[in-house]
Amino acid sequence: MGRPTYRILVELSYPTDPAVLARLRAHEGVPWEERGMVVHLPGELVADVPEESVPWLLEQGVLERVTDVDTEPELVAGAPVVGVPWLGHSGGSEEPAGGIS
Amino acid sequence: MTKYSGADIGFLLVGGYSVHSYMTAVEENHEAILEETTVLGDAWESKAFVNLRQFAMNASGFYDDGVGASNAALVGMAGNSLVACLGFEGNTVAKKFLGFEGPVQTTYRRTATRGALHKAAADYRGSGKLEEGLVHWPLATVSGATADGTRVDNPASSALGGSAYFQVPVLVLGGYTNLALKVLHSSDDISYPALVSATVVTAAPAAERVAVTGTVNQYTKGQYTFTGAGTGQSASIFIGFKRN
Repeated sequence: MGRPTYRILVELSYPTDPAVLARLRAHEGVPWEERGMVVHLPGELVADVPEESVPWLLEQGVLERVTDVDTEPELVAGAPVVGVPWLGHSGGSEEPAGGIS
Repeated sequence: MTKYSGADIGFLLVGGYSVHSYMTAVEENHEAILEETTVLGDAWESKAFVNLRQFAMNASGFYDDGVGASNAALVGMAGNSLVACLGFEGNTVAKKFLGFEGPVQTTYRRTATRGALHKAAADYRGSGKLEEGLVHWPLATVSGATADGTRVDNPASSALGGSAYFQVPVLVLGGYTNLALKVLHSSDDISYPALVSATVVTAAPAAERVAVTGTVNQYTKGQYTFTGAGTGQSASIFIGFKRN
Protein backbone atom coordinates (compact mmCIF):
# COMPACT_ATOMS: atom_id res chain seq x y z
CA MET A 1 0.00 0.00 0.00
CA GLY A 2 1.38 3.42 -0.96
CA ARG A 3 0.49 6.69 0.64
CA PRO A 4 -3.11 7.83 0.18
CA THR A 5 -3.78 9.91 -2.88
CA TYR A 6 -5.71 13.15 -2.73
CA ARG A 7 -7.25 15.43 -5.32
CA ILE A 8 -6.58 19.12 -4.84
CA LEU A 9 -9.82 21.13 -4.71
CA VAL A 10 -8.39 24.51 -3.66
CA GLU A 11 -4.97 25.80 -4.63
CA LEU A 12 -2.55 24.54 -1.98
CA SER A 13 1.08 25.17 -1.00
CA TYR A 14 3.14 23.01 1.34
CA PRO A 15 6.74 21.93 1.98
CA THR A 16 7.95 18.45 1.06
CA ASP A 17 11.53 18.48 2.34
CA PRO A 18 11.65 16.09 5.35
CA ALA A 19 14.21 18.26 7.10
CA VAL A 20 12.00 21.33 6.76
CA LEU A 21 8.96 19.38 7.95
CA ALA A 22 10.90 18.15 10.97
CA ARG A 23 11.84 21.71 11.88
CA LEU A 24 8.26 22.90 11.47
CA ARG A 25 6.95 20.01 13.57
CA ALA A 26 9.39 21.09 16.25
CA HIS A 27 7.78 24.55 16.07
CA GLU A 28 11.01 26.00 14.80
CA GLY A 29 10.57 29.18 12.84
CA VAL A 30 11.54 28.39 9.26
CA PRO A 31 11.76 31.37 6.90
CA TRP A 32 9.39 31.04 3.96
CA GLU A 33 12.20 31.14 1.42
CA GLU A 34 13.83 28.13 3.10
CA ARG A 35 10.70 26.00 3.12
CA GLY A 36 10.83 24.94 -0.53
CA MET A 37 7.07 25.22 -0.82
CA VAL A 38 5.39 23.55 -3.74
CA VAL A 39 2.08 24.73 -5.12
CA HIS A 40 -0.68 22.54 -6.51
CA LEU A 41 -3.71 23.72 -8.44
CA PRO A 42 -7.25 22.35 -8.35
CA GLY A 43 -7.59 19.00 -10.07
CA GLU A 44 -4.07 17.77 -9.43
CA LEU A 45 -3.49 14.44 -7.67
CA VAL A 46 -0.93 14.34 -4.88
CA ALA A 47 0.39 11.88 -2.30
CA ASP A 48 2.88 14.00 -0.40
CA VAL A 49 0.67 16.32 1.63
CA PRO A 50 2.13 16.69 5.15
CA GLU A 51 0.23 14.16 7.21
CA GLU A 52 -0.65 16.52 10.05
CA SER A 53 -2.34 18.85 7.58
CA VAL A 54 -4.53 16.20 5.98
CA PRO A 55 -7.36 16.12 8.57
CA TRP A 56 -8.07 19.85 8.51
CA LEU A 57 -7.55 20.13 4.76
CA LEU A 58 -10.11 17.35 4.25
CA GLU A 59 -12.51 18.95 6.73
CA GLN A 60 -12.27 22.32 5.01
CA GLY A 61 -12.74 20.90 1.54
CA VAL A 62 -9.26 21.70 0.29
CA LEU A 63 -8.57 18.04 -0.51
CA GLU A 64 -10.61 14.96 -1.25
CA ARG A 65 -9.36 11.43 -0.95
CA VAL A 66 -9.24 9.66 -4.30
CA THR A 67 -11.06 6.36 -4.06
CA ASP A 68 -12.53 5.99 -7.50
CA VAL A 69 -9.42 5.28 -9.51
CA ASP A 70 -8.87 1.77 -10.90
CA THR A 71 -5.28 2.36 -11.75
CA GLU A 72 -2.48 4.26 -10.10
CA PRO A 73 -3.20 7.93 -10.72
CA GLU A 74 -0.63 10.15 -12.32
CA LEU A 75 0.77 12.24 -9.51
CA VAL A 76 1.79 15.80 -10.15
CA ALA A 77 4.91 17.31 -8.72
CA GLY A 78 4.26 20.81 -7.49
CA ALA A 79 6.30 23.77 -8.61
CA PRO A 80 8.26 25.75 -6.05
CA VAL A 81 6.34 28.82 -4.97
CA VAL A 82 9.29 31.15 -4.77
CA GLY A 83 10.91 32.25 -7.98
CA VAL A 84 9.04 30.08 -10.43
CA PRO A 85 5.96 31.12 -12.37
CA TRP A 86 2.97 28.84 -12.22
CA LEU A 87 2.79 28.12 -15.92
CA GLY A 88 3.38 24.49 -16.64
CA HIS A 89 0.99 23.09 -14.09
CA SER A 90 -1.23 20.41 -15.45
CA GLY A 91 -4.14 21.36 -13.23
CA GLY A 92 -6.83 23.91 -13.75
CA SER A 93 -6.71 27.51 -12.71
CA GLU A 94 -8.97 29.39 -10.34
CA GLU A 95 -8.04 32.67 -11.92
CA PRO A 96 -10.97 34.42 -13.52
CA ALA A 97 -10.61 35.94 -16.94
CA GLY A 98 -10.04 39.61 -17.41
CA GLY A 99 -8.34 42.16 -15.23
CA ILE A 100 -9.24 44.84 -12.78
CA SER A 101 -9.75 48.24 -14.23
CA MET B 1 0.29 51.91 24.33
CA THR B 2 1.86 53.57 21.33
CA LYS B 3 1.22 57.01 19.96
CA TYR B 4 1.45 57.71 16.25
CA SER B 5 1.99 60.77 14.09
CA GLY B 6 1.89 61.85 10.49
CA ALA B 7 5.24 60.17 10.02
CA ASP B 8 3.51 56.83 10.65
CA ILE B 9 1.07 57.16 7.75
CA GLY B 10 2.37 54.27 5.70
CA PHE B 11 0.01 54.58 2.75
CA LEU B 12 -3.15 56.13 1.46
CA LEU B 13 -4.42 54.15 -1.49
CA VAL B 14 -7.52 55.28 -3.35
CA GLY B 15 -8.74 53.30 -6.32
CA GLY B 16 -5.26 51.93 -6.88
CA TYR B 17 -3.55 55.32 -6.66
CA SER B 18 -0.93 55.83 -3.97
CA VAL B 19 -1.37 59.40 -2.80
CA HIS B 20 -0.03 59.67 0.74
CA SER B 21 3.18 61.30 -0.44
CA TYR B 22 1.15 64.25 -1.81
CA MET B 23 -1.15 64.67 1.17
CA THR B 24 -0.72 66.71 4.32
CA ALA B 25 -3.87 65.60 6.11
CA VAL B 26 -6.33 62.75 5.96
CA GLU B 27 -9.37 62.26 8.13
CA GLU B 28 -11.92 59.53 8.53
CA ASN B 29 -14.94 59.48 10.74
CA HIS B 30 -17.65 56.94 11.20
CA GLU B 31 -20.84 57.28 13.10
CA ALA B 32 -23.84 55.35 14.26
CA ILE B 33 -27.20 56.47 12.93
CA LEU B 34 -29.63 57.28 15.71
CA GLU B 35 -33.33 58.02 15.79
CA GLU B 36 -34.79 60.25 18.43
CA THR B 37 -37.18 58.39 20.69
CA THR B 38 -38.19 61.24 22.95
CA VAL B 39 -41.90 61.19 23.73
CA LEU B 40 -44.34 63.40 25.59
CA GLY B 41 -43.62 63.47 29.25
CA ASP B 42 -39.88 62.99 28.84
CA ALA B 43 -37.69 65.59 30.49
CA TRP B 44 -34.59 64.63 28.51
CA GLU B 45 -34.09 63.64 24.88
CA SER B 46 -33.54 59.97 24.19
CA LYS B 47 -32.18 58.29 21.06
CA ALA B 48 -31.93 54.73 19.78
CA PHE B 49 -29.35 53.17 17.51
CA VAL B 50 -31.07 51.95 14.35
CA ASN B 51 -28.36 49.40 13.49
CA LEU B 52 -26.98 51.56 10.73
CA ARG B 53 -23.51 53.07 10.41
CA GLN B 54 -21.85 55.38 7.94
CA PHE B 55 -18.40 56.78 7.32
CA ALA B 56 -16.82 59.74 5.60
CA MET B 57 -13.25 60.50 4.61
CA ASN B 58 -11.34 63.46 3.27
CA ALA B 59 -7.78 64.01 2.18
CA SER B 60 -5.96 67.22 1.38
CA GLY B 61 -2.48 68.15 0.28
CA PHE B 62 -0.48 69.34 -2.68
CA TYR B 63 -1.65 69.52 -6.26
CA ASP B 64 0.67 67.51 -8.52
CA ASP B 65 -0.03 66.74 -12.17
CA GLY B 66 2.48 63.88 -12.46
CA VAL B 67 1.57 60.39 -13.65
CA GLY B 68 -0.28 58.66 -10.83
CA ALA B 69 -0.01 61.76 -8.62
CA SER B 70 -2.68 63.61 -6.65
CA ASN B 71 -4.45 65.23 -9.57
CA ALA B 72 -4.67 61.99 -11.53
CA ALA B 73 -6.04 60.23 -8.46
CA LEU B 74 -8.70 62.81 -7.74
CA VAL B 75 -9.76 64.58 -10.93
CA GLY B 76 -12.70 63.12 -12.77
CA MET B 77 -13.46 60.74 -9.92
CA ALA B 78 -16.46 62.57 -8.46
CA GLY B 79 -19.34 60.15 -8.25
CA ASN B 80 -17.11 57.11 -8.54
CA SER B 81 -17.16 54.38 -5.93
CA LEU B 82 -13.61 53.44 -5.04
CA VAL B 83 -11.76 51.04 -2.75
CA ALA B 84 -9.49 52.87 -0.32
CA CYS B 85 -6.92 51.81 2.28
CA LEU B 86 -5.26 53.96 4.92
CA GLY B 87 -2.23 52.78 6.86
CA PHE B 88 -2.32 54.93 9.97
CA GLU B 89 0.08 52.80 12.05
CA GLY B 90 2.79 52.43 9.44
CA ASN B 91 3.58 50.17 6.52
CA THR B 92 4.47 46.93 8.30
CA VAL B 93 2.97 43.44 8.28
CA ALA B 94 0.35 42.96 11.02
CA LYS B 95 -0.09 46.70 11.64
CA LYS B 96 -3.64 48.02 11.46
CA PHE B 97 -5.05 49.66 8.36
CA LEU B 98 -8.46 51.06 7.52
CA GLY B 99 -10.25 49.52 4.59
CA PHE B 100 -12.99 51.54 2.93
CA GLU B 101 -15.29 49.28 0.93
CA GLY B 102 -16.76 51.80 -1.46
CA PRO B 103 -16.29 55.47 -0.64
CA VAL B 104 -17.88 57.70 -3.25
CA GLN B 105 -15.90 60.82 -4.05
CA THR B 106 -18.24 63.75 -3.65
CA THR B 107 -15.95 66.71 -4.19
CA TYR B 108 -12.55 67.62 -5.60
CA ARG B 109 -11.12 71.02 -4.83
CA ARG B 110 -8.07 72.67 -6.36
CA THR B 111 -6.89 75.80 -4.59
CA ALA B 112 -4.43 78.37 -5.93
CA THR B 113 -3.20 81.07 -3.57
CA ARG B 114 -0.65 83.85 -4.09
CA GLY B 115 2.65 82.92 -2.52
CA ALA B 116 1.74 79.27 -1.93
CA LEU B 117 1.83 75.98 -3.73
CA HIS B 118 -1.41 74.79 -5.29
CA LYS B 119 -3.46 72.52 -3.08
CA ALA B 120 -5.77 69.59 -3.83
CA ALA B 121 -8.44 68.05 -1.64
CA ALA B 122 -11.22 65.50 -1.94
CA ASP B 123 -14.16 64.40 0.16
CA TYR B 124 -15.63 60.92 0.21
CA ARG B 125 -18.91 59.65 1.61
CA GLY B 126 -19.26 56.07 2.69
CA SER B 127 -21.07 53.47 0.64
CA GLY B 128 -20.40 50.15 2.28
CA LYS B 129 -18.19 49.20 5.16
CA LEU B 130 -15.32 50.82 6.96
CA GLU B 131 -13.17 48.01 8.33
CA GLU B 132 -10.05 47.77 10.44
CA GLY B 133 -7.78 45.04 9.10
CA LEU B 134 -4.16 44.04 9.27
CA VAL B 135 -1.47 44.69 6.69
CA HIS B 136 -0.49 41.44 4.95
CA TRP B 137 1.77 42.87 2.24
CA PRO B 138 3.05 46.39 2.95
CA LEU B 139 2.91 48.80 0.04
CA ALA B 140 6.16 48.00 -1.78
CA THR B 141 7.67 47.38 -5.17
CA VAL B 142 8.16 43.72 -6.05
CA SER B 143 10.06 42.31 -8.98
CA GLY B 144 10.40 38.58 -8.43
CA ALA B 145 8.18 36.13 -10.26
CA THR B 146 6.33 35.17 -7.09
CA ALA B 147 6.70 35.42 -3.33
CA ASP B 148 4.80 35.00 -0.10
CA GLY B 149 4.64 37.57 2.65
CA THR B 150 5.30 37.24 6.33
CA ARG B 151 2.60 35.29 8.13
CA VAL B 152 0.12 37.00 10.42
CA ASP B 153 -0.57 34.93 13.52
CA ASN B 154 -4.06 35.29 14.93
CA PRO B 155 -4.61 33.71 18.35
CA ALA B 156 -7.08 31.24 16.82
CA SER B 157 -9.09 30.47 13.73
CA SER B 158 -12.37 32.25 13.14
CA ALA B 159 -15.60 31.21 11.46
CA LEU B 160 -17.10 34.41 10.09
CA GLY B 161 -15.04 35.02 6.99
CA GLY B 162 -13.37 38.33 6.23
CA SER B 163 -12.45 40.85 3.58
CA ALA B 164 -9.27 41.16 1.55
CA TYR B 165 -8.07 44.45 0.12
CA PHE B 166 -5.80 44.50 -2.91
CA GLN B 167 -4.20 47.60 -4.44
CA VAL B 168 -1.81 47.86 -7.39
CA PRO B 169 -0.59 51.43 -8.05
CA VAL B 170 2.10 50.44 -10.56
CA LEU B 171 2.41 47.42 -12.84
CA VAL B 172 5.00 46.51 -15.46
CA LEU B 173 4.22 43.03 -16.77
CA GLY B 174 7.41 42.65 -18.80
CA GLY B 175 5.77 40.04 -21.00
CA TYR B 176 3.94 38.22 -18.21
CA THR B 177 0.22 37.65 -18.73
CA ASN B 178 -1.03 39.16 -15.49
CA LEU B 179 -0.41 39.66 -11.79
CA ALA B 180 -2.29 37.45 -9.32
CA LEU B 181 -2.72 38.52 -5.69
CA LYS B 182 -3.97 36.21 -2.96
CA VAL B 183 -4.38 35.72 0.75
CA LEU B 184 -3.47 32.23 2.00
CA HIS B 185 -4.36 30.70 5.36
CA SER B 186 -3.27 27.74 7.48
CA SER B 187 -4.13 25.86 10.64
CA ASP B 188 -0.63 24.52 11.25
CA ASP B 189 1.72 26.96 9.49
CA ILE B 190 2.78 24.07 7.29
CA SER B 191 0.20 23.77 4.51
CA TYR B 192 -1.37 26.92 3.07
CA PRO B 193 -4.49 26.75 0.87
CA ALA B 194 -5.62 29.88 -0.95
CA LEU B 195 -8.28 31.76 1.01
CA VAL B 196 -9.22 34.60 -1.32
CA SER B 197 -7.94 35.90 -4.65
CA ALA B 198 -8.15 39.21 -6.44
CA THR B 199 -9.25 39.37 -10.02
CA VAL B 200 -6.01 39.04 -11.96
CA VAL B 201 -4.50 42.43 -12.70
CA THR B 202 -3.46 43.39 -16.21
CA ALA B 203 -3.11 47.15 -15.81
CA ALA B 204 -2.52 49.68 -13.04
CA PRO B 205 -3.92 51.41 -11.13
CA ALA B 206 -6.17 48.66 -9.82
CA ALA B 207 -7.99 48.07 -6.57
CA GLU B 208 -10.43 45.49 -5.29
CA ARG B 209 -12.09 44.34 -2.09
CA VAL B 210 -13.06 40.66 -2.00
CA ALA B 211 -15.16 39.22 0.80
CA VAL B 212 -14.90 35.60 1.88
CA THR B 213 -17.19 33.56 4.11
CA GLY B 214 -16.58 30.66 6.46
CA THR B 215 -13.48 29.54 8.27
CA VAL B 216 -10.36 31.66 8.32
CA ASN B 217 -7.52 29.67 9.83
CA GLN B 218 -5.11 30.94 12.47
CA TYR B 219 -2.29 31.93 10.14
CA THR B 220 -2.76 34.19 7.11
CA LYS B 221 -0.37 35.71 4.60
CA GLY B 222 -0.31 37.58 1.32
CA GLN B 223 1.11 36.26 -1.94
CA TYR B 224 1.76 37.68 -5.39
CA THR B 225 2.55 35.88 -8.63
CA PHE B 226 3.31 37.08 -12.12
CA THR B 227 1.54 34.53 -14.31
CA GLY B 228 3.21 33.45 -17.52
CA ALA B 229 6.73 34.28 -18.56
CA GLY B 230 8.70 37.41 -19.19
CA THR B 231 11.52 39.62 -17.96
CA GLY B 232 11.82 42.98 -16.27
CA GLN B 233 8.49 42.69 -14.44
CA SER B 234 7.73 44.82 -11.41
CA ALA B 235 4.75 46.08 -9.48
CA SER B 236 3.85 48.18 -6.51
CA ILE B 237 1.36 46.18 -4.46
CA PHE B 238 -0.55 46.21 -1.18
CA ILE B 239 -2.51 43.37 0.42
CA GLY B 240 -4.58 43.70 3.57
CA PHE B 241 -7.03 41.39 5.29
CA LYS B 242 -9.82 42.00 7.77
CA ARG B 243 -10.87 38.96 9.77
CA ASN B 244 -14.53 39.10 10.84
